[in-house]
Amino acid sequence: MTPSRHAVLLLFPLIIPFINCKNPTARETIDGLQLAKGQALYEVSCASCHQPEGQGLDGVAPPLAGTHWPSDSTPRLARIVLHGLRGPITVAGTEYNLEMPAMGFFADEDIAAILTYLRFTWGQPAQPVTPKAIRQIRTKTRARTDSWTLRELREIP
Amino acid sequence: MTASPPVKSTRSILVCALILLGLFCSQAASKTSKGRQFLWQTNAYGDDVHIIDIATHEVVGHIKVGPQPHGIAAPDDAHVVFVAIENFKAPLGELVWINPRTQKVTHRLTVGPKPNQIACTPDGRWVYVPCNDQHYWVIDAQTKKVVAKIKTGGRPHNTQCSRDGRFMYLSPMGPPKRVTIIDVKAGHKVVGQIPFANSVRPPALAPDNQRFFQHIDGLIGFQVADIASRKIIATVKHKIPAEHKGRRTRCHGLGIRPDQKEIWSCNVEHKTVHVHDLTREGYLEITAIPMIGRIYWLTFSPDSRYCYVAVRAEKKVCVVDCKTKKILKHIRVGNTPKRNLVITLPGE
Repeated sequence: MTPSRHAVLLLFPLIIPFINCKNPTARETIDGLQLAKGQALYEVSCASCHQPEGQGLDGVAPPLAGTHWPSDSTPRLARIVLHGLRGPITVAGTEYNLEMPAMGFFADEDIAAILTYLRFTWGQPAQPVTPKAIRQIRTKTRARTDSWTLRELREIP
Repeated sequence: MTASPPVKSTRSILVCALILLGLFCSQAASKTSKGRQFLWQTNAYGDDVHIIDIATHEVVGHIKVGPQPHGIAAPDDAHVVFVAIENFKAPLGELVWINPRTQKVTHRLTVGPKPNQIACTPDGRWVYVPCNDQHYWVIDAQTKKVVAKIKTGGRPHNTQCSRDGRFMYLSPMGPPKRVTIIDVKAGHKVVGQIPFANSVRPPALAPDNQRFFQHIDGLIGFQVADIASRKIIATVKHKIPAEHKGRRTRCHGLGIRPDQKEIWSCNVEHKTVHVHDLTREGYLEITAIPMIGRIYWLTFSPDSRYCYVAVRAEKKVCVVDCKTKKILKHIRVGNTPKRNLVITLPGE
């Protein structure tokens, strides 16, 4: 783990009050434990392709660090994790054309933890993801059997 | 007019019955000596494998093997079937041994993270397992131990064994952009590499060990390498039908028909299988077969009569008649069928 990520975890209890001030709904769902859980799940299930430091792997998976993706909208990110993503996608100037597997077998709490970890590590920490939001999107997309394409995701706010 | 003597008519009936019995016995014997053949289909986002009798194209078995079964391989005599358990939620994957007669898992071995398409030698002694730690793990299936880890870099994903069991060809995705050749009999030693134009994807190997066929990223078709010289000798592009022109796609799933006459290739997003002539240089495209959904992998019956295409999003296997190129049937399987394999259980 890089020093910056250590710092995020260590300083997390200090920044919670500020997060809560801005986003009261996050009070019950975001804590250090959730962040640690998100990191553990990321390292086991996502890092092998996106890499531990989020730098991606050429020809396998795009980077997350330094891109807008960790801060993208919850409806879009949740759909990617729940059902997967396929087809061409250009990230940081490089095109990828593979298929990210569906991870819908994770519980809503787990997906929320992973996405929150991404946001706090490489995105906008003021926007945590709640299990409730994941649950709503899971329900809304229940009929979905295939992975998403970038074109489809663009139509989702 | 006189009636035939009853003795004569009884004798005729007896002779006919004996002939029929003889025919039945010879057919039964031939069936037994040939053995029975089954398609094994892994369901990559499920936890199971479907077994289909290729004489009837009906599902005859269903085995729970573990979360996200991906790769599959079996020796020639099919005394065991190996399945790689990817298990997205766990830090390490597994290799499982299945007895195809009892359809029971008989052994589990922890291997590296997220194992994908495995290969084993024809005698079943060595299993190569591509893991997401930049290594291919080499398993001695006899002692059930990990005996070596071969670093290829990238994301180890596909594996191919030569027909004689001497060489393994390792195709990792990502930056290496090359196939690594291993001499199995020389103690799993790296003996060569074949560079390709881009990240390597599913391969196919001619049984004479002279030509290596490789899907690569960015090419809607495949490249052909001369194994002896380790050089690419052809880049073959599929003919894209007018209705798909301009629509981005990729290729995943390449197979040589056992009679060595054709090579079949899965064009994923165009939902098409392209068939190329393998008997002449140039590898001309013979036909393209539209599928009902996005496809992932294919395999053949040993008599080259049928091709089985995994139609992942539809949760089906498509049965194609290799001669007429017509779709005969769709067989319902599990969640996201990916790799498949036909095994022959010898007659008892």
